[in-house]
Amino acid sequence: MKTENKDLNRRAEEAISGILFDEPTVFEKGAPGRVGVDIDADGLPPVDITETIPADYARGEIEEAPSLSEPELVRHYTRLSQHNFGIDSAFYPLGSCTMKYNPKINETLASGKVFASLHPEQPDFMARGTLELIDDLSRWLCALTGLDVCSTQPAAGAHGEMTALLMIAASLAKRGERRSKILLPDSSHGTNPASSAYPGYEAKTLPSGPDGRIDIDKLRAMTDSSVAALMVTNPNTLGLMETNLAEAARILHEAGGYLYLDGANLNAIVGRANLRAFGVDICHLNAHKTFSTPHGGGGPGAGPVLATKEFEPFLPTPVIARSKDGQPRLDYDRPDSIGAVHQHYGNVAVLARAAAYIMSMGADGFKEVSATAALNANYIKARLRGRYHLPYDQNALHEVIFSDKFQRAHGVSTLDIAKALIDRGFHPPTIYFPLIVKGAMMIEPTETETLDTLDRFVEAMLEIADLAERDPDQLKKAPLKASRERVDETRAAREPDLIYCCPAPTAPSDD
Amino acid sequence: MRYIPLTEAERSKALEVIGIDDVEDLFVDIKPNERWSGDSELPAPLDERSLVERFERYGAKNRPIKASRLFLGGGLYPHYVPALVGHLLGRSEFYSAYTPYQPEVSQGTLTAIYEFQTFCALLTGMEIANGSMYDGASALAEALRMAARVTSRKKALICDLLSPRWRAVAKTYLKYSDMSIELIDSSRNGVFDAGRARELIDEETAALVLQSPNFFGSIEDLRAARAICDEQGALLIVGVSEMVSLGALKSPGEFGADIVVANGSSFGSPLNYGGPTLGVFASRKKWARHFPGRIVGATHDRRGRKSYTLTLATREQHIRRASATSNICTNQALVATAATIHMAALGRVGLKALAERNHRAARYLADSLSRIPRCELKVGPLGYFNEFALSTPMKASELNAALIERGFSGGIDLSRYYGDRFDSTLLLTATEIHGKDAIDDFVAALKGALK
Repeated sequence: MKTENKDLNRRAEEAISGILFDEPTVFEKGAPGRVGVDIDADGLPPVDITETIPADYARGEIEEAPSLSEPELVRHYTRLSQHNFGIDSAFYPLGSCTMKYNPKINETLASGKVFASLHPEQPDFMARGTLELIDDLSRWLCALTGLDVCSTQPAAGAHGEMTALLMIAASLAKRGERRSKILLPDSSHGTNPASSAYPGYEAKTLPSGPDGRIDIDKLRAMTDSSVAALMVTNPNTLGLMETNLAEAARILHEAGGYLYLDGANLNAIVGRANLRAFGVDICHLNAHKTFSTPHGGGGPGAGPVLATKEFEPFLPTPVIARSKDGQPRLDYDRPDSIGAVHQHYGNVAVLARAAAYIMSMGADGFKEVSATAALNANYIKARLRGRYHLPYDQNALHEVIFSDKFQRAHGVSTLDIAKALIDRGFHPPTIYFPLIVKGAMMIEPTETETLDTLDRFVEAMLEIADLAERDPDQLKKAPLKASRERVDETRAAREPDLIYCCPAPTAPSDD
Repeated sequence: MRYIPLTEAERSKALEVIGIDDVEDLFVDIKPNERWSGDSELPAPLDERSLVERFERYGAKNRPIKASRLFLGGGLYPHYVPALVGHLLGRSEFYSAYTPYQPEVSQGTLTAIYEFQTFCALLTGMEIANGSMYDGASALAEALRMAARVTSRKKALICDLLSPRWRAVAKTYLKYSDMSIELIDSSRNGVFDAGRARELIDEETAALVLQSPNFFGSIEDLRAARAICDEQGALLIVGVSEMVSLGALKSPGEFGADIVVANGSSFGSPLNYGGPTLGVFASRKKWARHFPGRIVGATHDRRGRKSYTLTLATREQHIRRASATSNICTNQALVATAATIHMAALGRVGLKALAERNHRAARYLADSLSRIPRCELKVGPLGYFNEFALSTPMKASELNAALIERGFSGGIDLSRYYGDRFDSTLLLTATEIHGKDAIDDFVAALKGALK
């Protein structure tokens, strides 16, 4: 143990109850000489590595690496896990992220050795079961969206967006066209413009109408032969259904462009709306949102792309095809394909979880998902109406957007409300998004909560609204009950400290 | 439905509070012609027991091979993952969290990712690393985009002994951009053709890109590559498909690499049929604001306690939108956490011991195979780590088929990626998963197959 951190480590060891909040990094723990993994030779003759590798290419021990025994490691990472809030911990109404329960059986199934031990370079016939599973999943995703073809290659939603935009560029190129623009509503996710940059498109903002929806006249005025596509989220990030999508699609199609749907909010309409009927040409979905796969603290996810038949030639390689004998195989021989977007075949183990979820739900299950998600969001909306400002007080579906307008008058911001929720046992909603709502709080309860949980959340929000009027300073102090009080994010950005290198971290102040 | 708790009574109460009679009233904005009617195309819902059975039926059609009988590498390597990794990763506080947007309740993930960044920087010999990429291939693609940003140049020069799968992805990413890729044909020699690189590099070249050990398993002359870059002011990007090698091989950073991209899933992850894997991205601190992807930084909380948070957000899509350095939100955080736990468990002694154990197995395999008549090792002058090419008197495709019959998965048929010239060359790997007996059995099987 490095002496500088003796105090910190001793404090951690001596605590006798509760969760230990002061856990240093692994680099500050252990002692030289300890090992966490033993490695034997299993009968192999010893070799001198410098016989095969020149001495100036060989490396000694990495001195900065830590030395911990197995029990120390287990405690360290167990403690770190205790400083985390997951969907299994409590209510997690993070808008646009669809934090629903992650079924346990799906974890067991997807990590089964018969799936997890396959090497991607094994011949197709040895992976027949996995290929069939992914092929079935693709078919089910087509059924759920009303679209014709699917690629499960993209590893995340943004990766799916980029893939789809490349497919749009490829389709236009096939017609001999190179267009320059993508249109995006001002309420769009930041990934949309960032993804547009990959195929070299310029992202043009389409201002929303006063009702928070696409302004059809403005769309008509902005759409010409330079527009490759309009990217929309439906329901949009204000939680509102786009009621003119078919008309929007017509305008784009007449100009030779496409309608792209960002599937982040599919949970609102899954089992209820046919994306094809909206006029959608191509879209991405998020396995880690609608299809219950765990988000892992930031991935791995999966962002399958679905499209009309027209896009089939441009799908990324490989695609799952069928041999003459009906067996699945990976097909790379696709001359018009955009090419590969993943090193192998996407996040297969994540896709397997999504497939297990679909098999558990069935069509009626998905209808219940969207109905319950909408019911829960509207319940919160109804109970908080009047105490929190509703910038777009219209028919909401699976999520509801409030602002801090009422609380701002007392000097209380969305950030304060979010941090105060932490002290009341809830994960904060998505805050300050969408950008077109000042001080936005985007609350998405999902379908996997009881009414009792929603009530407790509502009561916490009401109490916070009261405090904002009575004792705003108390909210400014929050959180007090988490492993950390308010974290200085500005300092982190101003003086980037991105790897552990300093032997002496600042000692914590006294408790 | 077991995942949806609302009872009829709760539903009625909710409807009353909302002030509607029927939940369907919430969906009036979906027009009749937009209604979904795909019911019959979805499978009927299964209970948990039936779901397990259904998965067993899929699984029964797979033919997994015991890791010690698998000698396939080419970017993903069979390794033993200590049990503690799975147990710790199974803590759902880690796996059921979202991206750590609220640092006060996310110190677990944030600390683990900060540790991950530190391990990646140490192993690659670079100053900083990000919080992970989808895979090595996407890390390469983003490295090329970053090289263009920091040099304002538009050409990438890539040695064709860099993973063909990574190259394919980079090509797709840049397809409609103003950046071009030129390949340095080096497969004939099995190592980077420095002479050819010197001919091709010019003042428009943003980066020269090499993999070491390369796709054929040979260690590359990174010193020569650095010198060529310096002549034209280009960046040196080094790919590492086997992070374990960095426990025994001098880091790319020590040879002056500007960006290192790697596959890190050898630490902590099963093969997963290729996904999820783990992309590693490391580079110089002065370019931190040009980095793609999520980055965790250390700071303090209000009481002055060391704390971690996502940082340098002004590079990112949610702030910068169209001019963001990348579009990445969700990355591979849990896979990075697994790798972190495995690397920490190995530690100072284990990282080196594991690397040496890998080399020991590969050396024994190579020595045994090169004693077989008409089998010849194809290795560059700087040697190999845990993978090498072997030319045999038989077509690689036929040899592999014969090995599968004998219960082994052989090597990669290099003609699949490098053309007919390599139709009897196998790419073979051996790691700590292979002991003497396993290797002897394989060598005997290969000998038998050649007869």
